[in-house]
Amino acid sequence: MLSNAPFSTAKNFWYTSLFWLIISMLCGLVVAIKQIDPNFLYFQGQDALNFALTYAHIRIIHTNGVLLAWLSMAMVGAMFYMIPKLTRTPLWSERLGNLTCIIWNLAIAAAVVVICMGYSTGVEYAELPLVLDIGVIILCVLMSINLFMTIAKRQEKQLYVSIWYFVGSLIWLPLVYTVGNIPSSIVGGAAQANMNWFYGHNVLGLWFTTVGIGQIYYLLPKLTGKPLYSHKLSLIGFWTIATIYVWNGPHHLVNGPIPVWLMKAGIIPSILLIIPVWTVLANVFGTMRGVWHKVAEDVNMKFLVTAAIFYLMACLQGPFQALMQVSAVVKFTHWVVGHAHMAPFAAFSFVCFVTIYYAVPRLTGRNIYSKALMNWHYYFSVIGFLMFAFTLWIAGVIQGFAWMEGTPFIETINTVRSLIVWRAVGGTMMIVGQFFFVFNLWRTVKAGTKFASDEESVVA
Amino acid sequence: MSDKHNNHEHHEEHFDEVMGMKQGHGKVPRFLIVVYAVLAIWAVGYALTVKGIDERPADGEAAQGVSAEVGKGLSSQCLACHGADFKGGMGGVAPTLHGVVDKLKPEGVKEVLTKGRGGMPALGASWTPDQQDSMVEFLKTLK
Amino acid sequence: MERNALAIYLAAIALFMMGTFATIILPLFDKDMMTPTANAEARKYDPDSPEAKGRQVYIANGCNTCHTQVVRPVKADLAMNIGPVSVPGDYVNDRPHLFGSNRTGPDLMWVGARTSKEWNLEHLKDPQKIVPGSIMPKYDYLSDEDLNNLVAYLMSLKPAPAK
Repeated sequence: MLSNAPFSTAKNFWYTSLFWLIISMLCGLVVAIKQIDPNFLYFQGQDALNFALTYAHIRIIHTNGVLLAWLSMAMVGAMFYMIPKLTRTPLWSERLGNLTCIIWNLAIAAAVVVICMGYSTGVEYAELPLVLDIGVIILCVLMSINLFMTIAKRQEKQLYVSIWYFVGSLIWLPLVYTVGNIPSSIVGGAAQANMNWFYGHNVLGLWFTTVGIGQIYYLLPKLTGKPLYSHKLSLIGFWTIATIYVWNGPHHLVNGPIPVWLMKAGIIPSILLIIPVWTVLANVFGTMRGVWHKVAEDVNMKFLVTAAIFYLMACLQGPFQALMQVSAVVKFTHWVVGHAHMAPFAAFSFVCFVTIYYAVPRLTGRNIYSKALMNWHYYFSVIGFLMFAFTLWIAGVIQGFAWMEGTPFIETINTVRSLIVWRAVGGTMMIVGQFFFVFNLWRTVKAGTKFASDEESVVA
Repeated sequence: MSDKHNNHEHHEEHFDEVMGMKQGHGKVPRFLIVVYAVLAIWAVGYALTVKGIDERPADGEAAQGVSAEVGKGLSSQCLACHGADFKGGMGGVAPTLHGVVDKLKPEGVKEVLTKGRGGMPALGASWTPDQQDSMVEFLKTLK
Repeated sequence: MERNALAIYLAAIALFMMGTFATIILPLFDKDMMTPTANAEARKYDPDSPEAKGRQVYIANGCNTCHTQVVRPVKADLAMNIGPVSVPGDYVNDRPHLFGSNRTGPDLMWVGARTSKEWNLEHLKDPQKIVPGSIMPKYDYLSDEDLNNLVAYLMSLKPAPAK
């Protein structure tokens, strides 16, 4: 049951993450439809079922599923692939890795059941009850031990930039998770809300972002065949994000019930985030110089460059929203929901798609089954997302200004009603794209043509 | 320890190889250095000067005065029970507000607003006299 | 540093701790943040009270997914006329906090001051009947006991009487 085959952990993490990708995105669609028709999935007289399927439960499964199941597992898979590849050292223990993968899946399945039963802590993004919180931390420890032992056993001492990011992320995730989930419940009140958003934002900044950038730094030279543009930019980018990001939490409570000094302690680093973001992107675009034509030829390059652009956009929008005057208009509206999808989906899920597309042929010896399906996956994801996000941004601005005029709440709902329908249409396209993705990978593993290994030549 | 110094064919800049990954030594673009500097200066300025937003009217009441317009702004809470057109709702429990000022007179309306009646909460208990008068003015427009 | 994973690890922890100290630990020593107001005292429910049980119903059904309990001193919140601006001290006894982050529906910080028991009960069972066009789900699947507790909690959300 617990395979010891090389890279089986990475593969198992990826294959199971695909299941959660579909499930949790479907939950997102259900929530979007419930915002159009509140009686969707409501069954007259079935009280227990209606409780299980109530709007909030499905939304919690959507957010936790996408973040802790799909995206985290895809990223963990990426580390289990890239760290042995970079260190040229076999994973310390594939058995332990596979065990971690199994426990991870069981924990997520348990979370789904528990949330449907209504045992949420009530704290957004940190809804899992204490038992599962401890489970998550144990998983972090198991995976860290495995990956650190692998790094420790390496022959070449110098560490490539991707490894710095992975090492940082492996310590930040358990720390961020602990602060946000465990002592915060004892503290309560505004201080807990502050800790809640410390977690809610830093899990993005010090886990998804940093593992995502680590992957970009690995994939970019592989896919372009060019050296990474600048070692100095890598250094600046890494150490500035490590310094600045952790301060970002309070910007979620701007204008709200926290002291002004704390708002400013959150807003200033939010703006300063432009430093690591632009530094990393200068490195990406510097590397791309002279090889832009590859973007037209290679779907992986398309995904990667699009991810970089959305990362840039998310990190312009984010600092902008953190400002008090802007926050006063868009906060609590649909705008924020559009923004919240950009980095996890259009930036870092895209990066994970590339990693999987890149690695699966190298692990299974089979070419990706269909390039056309890859293209469909790309266009549905991008166009679907743009439709999804722009409708929400427009709806958010309309809501924000209507509230400022004291428009009765129900009127503001009526005004944005058709936009919310188009949001669901965009969301449906995003999901359809993922069906192409999963089908394509399934056919690859089953029936892909033979892939000629390029492991030694390095240049893809 | 396999830092190989190679000469790339097309570019003069050299690159190292770390863990099988090639990395160059490109310069930090000048515009980025400008961005770093501008942000650093901005951050200090922001930290020292900015105050929190508070858009509450400075001295409580004086700001708005008495008008049907102000009353309309306060009316969004009424329609939850009295209906979107203020013609009554909740299956007749909440009566129509059309003509209510004629019926109860301004004093009577203000009494209900500030003290509540039956299922009606004292919505206007915390309102200023100007706001209460504004609500009366607004209700007069419903005819 | 680039040769030593442990050094990166320790530096990452140190930088993390700096931000944590400033944005998490320091606020715990801020008087505004931690001193309970009269509103906080009014929200300190006896664990067996209907209000405390209703609050659990509120959490179990995720009301805070769509409703905030935050009133800011900004134009939107003042114009919507949702009650007095809330301050950190109002929340001291909230465990867990129920700030919420999205107003799919209106703010509920002081909902008890502007609605009645009867209205809430009817509205929870069939929101569209009371507010045509509402996108709030029906909560008629809750037991009468849960509903009554939930309404008791909602009605308790009002400014504490001035002393």
